[in-house]
Amino acid sequence: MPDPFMIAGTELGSRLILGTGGAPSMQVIDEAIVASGTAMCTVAMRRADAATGGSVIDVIDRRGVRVLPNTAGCRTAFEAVRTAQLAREALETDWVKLEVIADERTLLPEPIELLDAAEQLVGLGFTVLPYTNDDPVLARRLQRIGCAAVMPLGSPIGSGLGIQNPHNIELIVSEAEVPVILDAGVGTASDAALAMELGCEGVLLASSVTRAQDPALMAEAMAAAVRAGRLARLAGRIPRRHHAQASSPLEGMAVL
Amino acid sequence: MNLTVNGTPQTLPERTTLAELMVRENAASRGSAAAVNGVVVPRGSWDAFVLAEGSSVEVLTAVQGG
Repeated sequence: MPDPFMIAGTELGSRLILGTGGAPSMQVIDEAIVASGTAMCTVAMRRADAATGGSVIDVIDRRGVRVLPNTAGCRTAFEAVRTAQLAREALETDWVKLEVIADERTLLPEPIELLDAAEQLVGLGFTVLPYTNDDPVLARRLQRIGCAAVMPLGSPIGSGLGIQNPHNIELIVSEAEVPVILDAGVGTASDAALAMELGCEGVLLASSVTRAQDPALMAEAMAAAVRAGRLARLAGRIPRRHHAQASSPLEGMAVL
Repeated sequence: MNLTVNGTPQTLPERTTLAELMVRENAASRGSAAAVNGVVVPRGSWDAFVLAEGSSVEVLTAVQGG
């Protein structure tokens, strides 16, 4: 059954978006890209003299995967817009994972600056994919100003705590006119499957793969989980009920 | 000519272009970008962009990141 994953009119071949942060080597990233079957990987922008260990872009380009620059580490709309503009020049893409964080301890999105930055970037012609809180009202605002997707967190970046407020994710999905992509908090495969079952169109994860004991194997697990969760969502789960409902017929029981 | 590159003071020959600086910084290939005094300079303008005394240049490149 055809089930294309579209963002801003572009079809992506996989609903799993892979962050490259946290991997111990370029070889691990390369293996994770292949095992995950991802069609898009995120990168960060940093001072050239701080860059070490080879070029992540070479790995991504070699695998023919789309690159999604982020604005990780930015605290203000001003910084995030400048970083997005630099990324656009560096990577020749209008797409940006917009990230404006409040502080280093929680890495939670700073909602006021985020909305400001998103509005500016949409105005500058960017395809904006904002990393946001699991706040349905903020998600609504981000959509309204023209973001191409909304990417609520399941739990804080790198925490591996999974989806802490599935009701909010469901609520965001129920109101969404653009794809909802769960971004941050995934710890293991069942978290990714749950995101898809809740109706997310995709999952963006990094640490759960790059910091796993066997990153390539976890990447494969995530790909299977995203696919399983998507199929379950499309199939329509049975309603939850408080008491049992027999699946074997009650009629025709032998009298013993 | 004295200027600052990624926060570090540097002395460069007069009339050094941004394109030449990007080669020096090993950042001329795809994945890199530059801002001079806070303004992003498009790659197509690097050759013609002559750096001035006292400029502050940020040279960025794509790295691993979530």
